[in-house]
Amino acid sequence: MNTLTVLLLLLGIHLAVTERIRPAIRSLAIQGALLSLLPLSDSAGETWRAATLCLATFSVKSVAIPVILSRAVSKLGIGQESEALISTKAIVLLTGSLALAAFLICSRFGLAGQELLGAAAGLTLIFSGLLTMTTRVKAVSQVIGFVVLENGIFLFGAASGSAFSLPIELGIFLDLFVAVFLMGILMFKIQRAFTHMDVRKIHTLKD
Amino acid sequence: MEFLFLFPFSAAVAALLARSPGQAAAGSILGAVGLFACTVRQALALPVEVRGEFLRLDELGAYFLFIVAGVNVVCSVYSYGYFRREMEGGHIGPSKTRMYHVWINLFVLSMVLVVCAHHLALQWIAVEATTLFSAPLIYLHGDRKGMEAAWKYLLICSVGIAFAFLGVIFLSRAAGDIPLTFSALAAGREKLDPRFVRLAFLFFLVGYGTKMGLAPMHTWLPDAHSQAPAPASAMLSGVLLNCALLAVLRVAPAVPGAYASPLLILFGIASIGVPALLAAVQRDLKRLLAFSSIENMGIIVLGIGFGGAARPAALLHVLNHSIAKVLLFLVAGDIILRFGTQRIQRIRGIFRQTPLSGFLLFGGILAIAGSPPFGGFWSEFGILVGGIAGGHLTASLIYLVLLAVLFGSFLVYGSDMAFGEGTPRKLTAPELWCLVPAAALLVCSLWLGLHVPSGFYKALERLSTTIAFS
Repeated sequence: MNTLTVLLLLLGIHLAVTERIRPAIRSLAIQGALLSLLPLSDSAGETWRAATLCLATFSVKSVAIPVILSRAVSKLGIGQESEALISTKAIVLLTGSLALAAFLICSRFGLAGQELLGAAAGLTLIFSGLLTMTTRVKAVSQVIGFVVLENGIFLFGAASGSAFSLPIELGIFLDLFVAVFLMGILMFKIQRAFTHMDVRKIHTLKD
Repeated sequence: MEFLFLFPFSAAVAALLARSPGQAAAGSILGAVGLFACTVRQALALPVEVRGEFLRLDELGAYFLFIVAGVNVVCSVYSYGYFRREMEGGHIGPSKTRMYHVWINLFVLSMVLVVCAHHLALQWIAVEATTLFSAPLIYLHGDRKGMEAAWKYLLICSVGIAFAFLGVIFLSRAAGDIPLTFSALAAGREKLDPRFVRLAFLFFLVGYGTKMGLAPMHTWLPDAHSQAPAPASAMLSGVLLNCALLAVLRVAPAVPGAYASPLLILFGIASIGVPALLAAVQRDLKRLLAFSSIENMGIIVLGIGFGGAARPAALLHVLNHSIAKVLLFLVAGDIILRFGTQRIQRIRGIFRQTPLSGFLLFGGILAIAGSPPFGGFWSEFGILVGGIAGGHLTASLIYLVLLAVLFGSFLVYGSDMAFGEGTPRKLTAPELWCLVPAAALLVCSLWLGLHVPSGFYKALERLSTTIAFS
């Protein structure tokens, strides 16, 4: 469990600071695969339940979503650079301080040991997902940020021991998958209509 | 209860299989009437109907369901005439019209699930599903503005809902062994860990508040509501916002009032204040209406935060806002099609051209601004009285001033559009399929303004005790 969490955290930091889109999608896929191992590491649960959840996580987070994203990148001819509004140095610094803040917040709530590591890593992913969504300018980067945020919530939930019955967990996966699927469709449509994917230039609607 | 889900689902399937947009629209109308009939039948058989562990229709849910089903009937009738006009004008093709009916019925289905969900996580799934099914409605026309609006909507609301899920996690942490059903949480509220309950409520309020359009998380709302086709805008503004509100109200019994009330009052005042500042500079009719939705959600949240006598008034305002806002979006849709623009400045002198449209628009503006003799006046007044009685003098005063500002700007816009000089060219005739549903809503609003049935208000008072904070 601890090894998994540390790996997830490292991948999250890579996702936050990398300037290229394809490696980011690859990290996202690996992160999804690691997340799918989480239900298995919980020895208390029933085996078939853990196996179903593992399968669902793997197919949505490690296969479906990365496939949608990389198809979008290749079909839309999006460049390799994931441009940001602030410099990479600033992003590295911000990510570091957000991770520190996450650990401080979680220890303030009296968490310790494995629980602290899991919750703080989850919170770091949530923060860095938000950071990606707000600082990266390409639509595909924003979707990546959203998925990182979701992964963070997933890890945070697993660390704080929240578990729901199987149909509900599967419903949550379905919702997430459809959300990213819809975002993918919209990316194609936006590309066709605007002939670019830079969200800085999408601002005709304002007061 | 199964029929509540069956009707919208069958209407969606029927629309998918329909050969013409007319057939799809007929399916929608039949589905909507069926859903409404079932809702009434269920409401008469209440207090509670339970289906398994996760689904339950109680009185609070039935009240919100009644609004969803009623608005759905009105909008489905309207959409027949509206899309006929849009197709005649060449704004939309038959296949997109058919898809409208598919998505709108799935959207209604997801809202029925929000209302009937009795488990925190199921409710979350349902609220997220409302976002997913309504996003295609926003970019139905496939133009750039629609896509921009849908993109913002999908992204911002998904992040908001993700925060609400953190709320679910915190509440499950606070609950320990208590199951996450609303009745179990309310019964076991003494045993919940207060630190995590507070965190959970904050995240629920920010998360579902994003969906509700509370300031400062409202930025997506004016875009989305102004880009969707008129009947979809009416559903988004008139009932979807209520569903997000219901999601927050459901957890209220588990949350200490001393913590929740100030938060709600703060978000309420902010959400009335932002439209009060921005309404005066609006140029787009549908954006103006969208800002008014933010304002009204603020009023309702403020009323819930005031507590006491303001709470039943806030629940009444949910109904009043839905009636007046749906009315306005429906009339505005017809007017926008006939004038060929959404710009307020170019819409002038409706009353002279078509007295009925002008009358409905001006009446709707008065109703939404909370002027007597319409229903909104009493609920807004009730919230003010409740606030003063509860000792929230400063907040009540700010509320009153902001309402006066908003009333002024709405009155100016309304009288300019209805009675102002201009419009050189002759307009096409109004579409009766569009105006009759709107007229029915104006009558409802007027009726609720002249006479709130005492049994109904007693029921609202009873409901408001079920959402009282602990």
